Amino acid sequence: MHIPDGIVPAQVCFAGYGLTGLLTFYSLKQIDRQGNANSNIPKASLLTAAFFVASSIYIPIPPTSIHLLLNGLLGVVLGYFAFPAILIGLFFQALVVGHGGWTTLGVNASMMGIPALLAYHIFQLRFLGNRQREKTPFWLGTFAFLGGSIGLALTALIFTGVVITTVPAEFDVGAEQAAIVTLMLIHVPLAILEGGFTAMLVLFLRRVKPELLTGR
Amino acid sequence: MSAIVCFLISCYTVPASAHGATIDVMTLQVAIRASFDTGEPMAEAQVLIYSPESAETLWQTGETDSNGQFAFAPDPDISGLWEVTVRKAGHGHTTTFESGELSGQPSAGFADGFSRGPNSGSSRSALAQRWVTMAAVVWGFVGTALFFSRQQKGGTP
Repeated sequence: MHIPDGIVPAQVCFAGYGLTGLLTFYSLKQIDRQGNANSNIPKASLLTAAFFVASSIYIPIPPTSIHLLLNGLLGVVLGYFAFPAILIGLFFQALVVGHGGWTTLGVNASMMGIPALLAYHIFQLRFLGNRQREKTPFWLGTFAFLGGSIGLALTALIFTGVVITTVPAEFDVGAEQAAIVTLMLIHVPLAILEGGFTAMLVLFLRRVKPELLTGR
Repeated sequence: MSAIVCFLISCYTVPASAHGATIDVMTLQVAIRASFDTGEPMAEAQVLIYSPESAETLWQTGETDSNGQFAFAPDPDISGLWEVTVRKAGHGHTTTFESGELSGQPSAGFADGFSRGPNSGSSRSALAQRWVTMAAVVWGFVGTALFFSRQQKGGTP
């Protein structure tokens, strides 16, 4: 689910870097506004490590195998810290593992970071309406599941949208688009898996260290 | 997933005979093998080949087989840098080889004669180095977490 170098045109790469710059600025501004940023750095640092390693863990889903992403999980647990965490994780993935690329770092950061921020806001929806709902494990797990799975599903959709609309004319566009759609559909079970994992992690944190969960 | 493209440059003869006459045909062939970094072959991936004469005009197109392999015979009269692009489902790689490398001898690198193309992913021999580097990066993140958690507990470090 990383866009490598040479797949999308230069204009898309520039737009990706521009958007990532803006979102990094916005995220850091929100972190500063929330205050007490230092207390969240250990949590953000450990989850950045998990995000970095996750792309090397492959799950065989016929006819191919796909790797974990965990961007929805980062959004749910880290809030606005998720965007810089994903950007740093992607930098090291490109440097060490060769996933993604230098020209597409901005595109990949936006592609995974925007759904992570959305996952955070989905998780915050648990505070809406009934005040007691946020304290119920069922609702906490449900919103965590939705955040984790929608975060990954949206990333797959953005990847599909970006790549499918920029297939060079030299290729058999129909065949390439069919392969891209197949890859997107393969990510549906992974979205459910990561949603379930996010819910389990959030319920675990609720029991052992509830102050680690983002929100009011 | 990142993609890796390997080359096999081979030279073989095809004898043909009829009524006592024999013709030896020498075909110079380049085979590529494309795979993801997991080792999984890029089966049925699209292949574009550009000759050294023009980086804009396609010289040949094709599709890899179920093993991620594709073979073609470059024009030996065209010297220079050949470019091969392999792509499937938004993943792919572009690599090059010099026509001067078409010496007729299988290239070294892998037991089956394939060699890693330039700009391709890391070789399997570098796998251990990659895991060590990954461990170092992870330790960097863990160290950062420990540093800041200590700062919280005891004030300034």
